[in-house]
Amino acid sequence: MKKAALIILFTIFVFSLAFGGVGFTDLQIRLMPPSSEHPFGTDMLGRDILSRCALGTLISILIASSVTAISLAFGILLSFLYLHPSFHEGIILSVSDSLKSIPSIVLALFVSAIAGPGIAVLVISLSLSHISDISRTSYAESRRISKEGYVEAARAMNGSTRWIFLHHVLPNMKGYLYEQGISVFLSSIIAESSLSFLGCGVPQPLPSLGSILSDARPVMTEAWWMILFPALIILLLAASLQLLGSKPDTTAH
Amino acid sequence: MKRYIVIRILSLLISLVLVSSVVFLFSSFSEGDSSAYILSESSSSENIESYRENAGLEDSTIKRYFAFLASFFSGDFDESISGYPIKDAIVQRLPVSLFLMFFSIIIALLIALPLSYISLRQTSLRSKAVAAFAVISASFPLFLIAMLSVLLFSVKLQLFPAAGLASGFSSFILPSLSLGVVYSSLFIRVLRRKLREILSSPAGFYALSAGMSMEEAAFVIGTRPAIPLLAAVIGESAVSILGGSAIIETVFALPGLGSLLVKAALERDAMLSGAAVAVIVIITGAISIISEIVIRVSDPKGRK
Repeated sequence: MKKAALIILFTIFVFSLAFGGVGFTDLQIRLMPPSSEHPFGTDMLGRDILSRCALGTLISILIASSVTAISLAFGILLSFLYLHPSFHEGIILSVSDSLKSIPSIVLALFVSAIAGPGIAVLVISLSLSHISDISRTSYAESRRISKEGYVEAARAMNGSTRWIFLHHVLPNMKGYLYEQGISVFLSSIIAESSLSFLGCGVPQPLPSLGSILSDARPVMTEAWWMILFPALIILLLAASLQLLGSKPDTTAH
Repeated sequence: MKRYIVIRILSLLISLVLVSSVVFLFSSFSEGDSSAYILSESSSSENIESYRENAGLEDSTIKRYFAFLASFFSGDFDESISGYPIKDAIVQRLPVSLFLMFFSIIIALLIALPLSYISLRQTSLRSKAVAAFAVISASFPLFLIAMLSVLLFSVKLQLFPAAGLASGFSSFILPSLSLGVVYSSLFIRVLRRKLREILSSPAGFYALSAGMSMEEAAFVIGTRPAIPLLAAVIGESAVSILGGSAIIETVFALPGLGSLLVKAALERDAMLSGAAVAVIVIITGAISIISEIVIRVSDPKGRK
């Protein structure tokens, strides 16, 4: 299952690198069904859906990767800080608890109302929405590890916090970082396409899978190709990321 | 319990102060002030000055900040950019979003409860089918499932209205169904894991060896211990359903809080957006307090 998921992800990535483009407006070929020239058809401005889908996927992947990198870096930094005996985590945890009461899409819409549309704004607001989650879970993780015997032994032998972090905590966080990373990546892909669908995401004329689908809404009944292809890419991305991330659903024997 | 509620209310206040401060910071650092909108260009500088003085624009930033906070917390928002009172818009739209939220949770439960109870045997075909359903329905972004359901049920089959509130209750069916299907996958995963865990506990072994079927045993001994967990998951997903309603309300053109937020973002109306976010924060705060109370009451461990 995981192998298949990896192959699908890799294929989508190669596809997005190979065919990407904004697509030229050509009103003479508007709303053309798939043909050998335009395998995914064209939209109401005559732009090639194939190249728009590919570039949209690439932008999506880039945004989700940056959000994931920022969130994980934040988690690693926090778990290092949590390790210091003199560090007071109370403030961070209570701020993160109060951020938790704002749903992530609502937060992103709020940031977009204040700062306007743009890719950088999108990355910041999506990363912000993960902060509360990350600061909670990385706290639990660093607590779990720092209770281990070898960490106590290292402390007793006067090991510095930095040494303990690099040699004991970080290697033990690998599993956590992997799972957290996949889930942040997945939710960023979905959030980015949803926000672009609403018109508050990737600014036009840059394509996004979400905005291609929202362009398709008025012509939904005739232009099936404008829905099928971007939808298929999102679904394949999301399903394969889910398969990669989740542990198999087995707890009882 | 009391301590928990006090902490929750405090953290709610923190987030309200955060939201309102961001709105204030934004509006005080953006170029120009309301004198440029209210007065005409030909106004004399004396007129402008007296207007600014009356509107409190000459005061220090700190003083204006506290005046702003006071009016924000008393619900006394300004007018939106398009010129209608923000408070009225929120009061009108709130019931739509709340109803949508409750109805979607009920649908998600109606889907998830039976599916989790009938799919407990790990190797069975049913279990695999339900697991596949959970992965697929969780892969659907909300807007996609909403679009596809409009295409199928409104355009092709013409069963339900595609947009608006005009036909009363039936205009809520498709929106809540879309939300319910997506969130049911979360309920299924959590509930199935918990029920299987209970079935493999000594009580579960006893029930099974006494001749109960798996479904029976799960229902009789598993339901009660699953309630606190279910309450926690419902509380959490109610919060994110409220976020998802921004998408659903936009697709189905329902006049709710979510579509108000989208409108505010598109018009770059910081005040409108801040007010809507503040109301949402209050609702989600209330939801999490209620779900925590249910958890503590239904879980013997937390009943001290």
